[in-house]
Amino acid sequence: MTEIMIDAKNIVKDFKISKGLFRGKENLRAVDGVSLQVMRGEILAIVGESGCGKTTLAKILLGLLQQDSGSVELCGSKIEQIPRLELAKMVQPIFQDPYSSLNPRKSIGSIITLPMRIQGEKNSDVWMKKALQIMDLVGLPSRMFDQYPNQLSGGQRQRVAIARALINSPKIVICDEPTSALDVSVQSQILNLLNDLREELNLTYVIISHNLAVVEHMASRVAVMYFGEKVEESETDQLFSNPQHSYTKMLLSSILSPDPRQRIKKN
Amino acid sequence: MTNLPQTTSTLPVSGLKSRVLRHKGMMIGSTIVVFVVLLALLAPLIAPHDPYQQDLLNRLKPPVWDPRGSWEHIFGTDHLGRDYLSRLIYGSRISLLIGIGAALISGVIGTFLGVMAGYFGGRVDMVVTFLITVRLSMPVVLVALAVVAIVGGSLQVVIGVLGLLLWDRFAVVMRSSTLQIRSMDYVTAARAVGCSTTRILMTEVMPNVVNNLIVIATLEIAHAIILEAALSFLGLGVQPPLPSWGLMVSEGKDMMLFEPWLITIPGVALFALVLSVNLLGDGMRDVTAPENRN
Repeated sequence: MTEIMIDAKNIVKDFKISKGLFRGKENLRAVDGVSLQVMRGEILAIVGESGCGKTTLAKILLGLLQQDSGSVELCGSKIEQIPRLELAKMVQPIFQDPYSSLNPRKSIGSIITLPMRIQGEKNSDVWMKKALQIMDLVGLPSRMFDQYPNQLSGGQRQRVAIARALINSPKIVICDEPTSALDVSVQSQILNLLNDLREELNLTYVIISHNLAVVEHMASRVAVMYFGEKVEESETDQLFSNPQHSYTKMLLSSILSPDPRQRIKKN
Repeated sequence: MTNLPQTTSTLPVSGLKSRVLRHKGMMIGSTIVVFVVLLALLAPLIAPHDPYQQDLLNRLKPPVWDPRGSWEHIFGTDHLGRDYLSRLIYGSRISLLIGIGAALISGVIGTFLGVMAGYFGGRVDMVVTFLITVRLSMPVVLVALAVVAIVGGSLQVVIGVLGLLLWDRFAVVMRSSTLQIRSMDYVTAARAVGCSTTRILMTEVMPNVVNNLIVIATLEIAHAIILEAALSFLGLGVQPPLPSWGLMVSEGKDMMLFEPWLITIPGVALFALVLSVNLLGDGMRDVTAPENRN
């Protein structure tokens, strides 16, 4: 448990926003000096409100965006120096919306085997076997291999997305709100699946969420982001029992109690 | 086929076929288009006479439904005694060639520019948008007229000029639909998986914008056919004695009052072809949309 998988130091990312013709551009600091360390096998949750830079941070960790300053190291090597295909084998994303994360023109089989084909695996028997194996692992019946995404339910689509992310056995999986577009009953299935897969495949997760129940259920450590900055980071139990930052307190007090007599505290 | 409930088919093709058969507009459109294409391909076999053969003794014979007409010349003859039906059949070659040729050239230009602009954005988008604006500020017919007047009218020149002038709609539509697709998570996923930009454009973006492309292509085929007719009518398109439908209308216009079939026959042919190409395009869009696959 001591191997450092992700080591991010002081990441800063600015976006230039055009205010209109001739009015110049304005800087928007999406991520402001965030440092994170994730150990092997750990589940780090990043929570925070919409627009606080969680997704930008995730894209930087995936190598899809370049940070303006600071450094990201994955498994000990700088992310800029890892070749594209190597990076793809190291870290994979799972997205929020399974309706937009699968190309509607491609069959499930071709979506799941794409990562292998990209890595240069030419033998179609090898992909078929591997794809059916991973489909079985994520709980998809093999008859779906030739079906198209619009023939599948939301939960099944998310399983396809998970299968695609895991087929090349990456070390790190970055889940950007993996359940928020799903039905409540399906949410728990997907979360339990992710948990089982982590144990089975020895994965490291970074989970981005604003569902605190998900975070409490899954994460071993939680980082709270607020306006691009990391305002708090601690073990999950500790964060839920003894929040330090005022934003974290506000976030926790917004959880609804199942007891109808208990009212939401106003501050 | 029986009325038993069908189980979900794993082959997308069979679903496509039944959707095509159920789409009335597409059936009508494709029937006429296929008919015209066959006419064009088999013209030498079908045409009863040589379209260039003049017969000055049999000038301006009326068509067969007129009491003075005969089965010798079903659609009558024109002012030089050439068989009108044969000219109409050979004219379909010109119309289709110009329609498809011009749409192909403009489609390649417009799709390339539009997809580049939509996918890369930023400076590329600015340049392409500027090019589109420049193109839109040029009146097509005037520019085509000017170019043809300078270079001289011939089939190749007309195809080239129309091809270089009709790419704007392709570019605009491809740009906006690529913009939409680019922000989808499956494009991001393909990048994260390690796909190259070319591969993403070819396998993730293009298949999802191609149904728009088909619709625009049919619109532009129809547009090019009409523009060719207009240019030929003005005497600057295809040159006589080639039997273009627009040229036939043009040559008949002096005799419109007493021999109206000289204009109505090629006019109806143009109308039917353009309408059916448009119907076919609309049908293709409806049938290939992935939402309709079930």
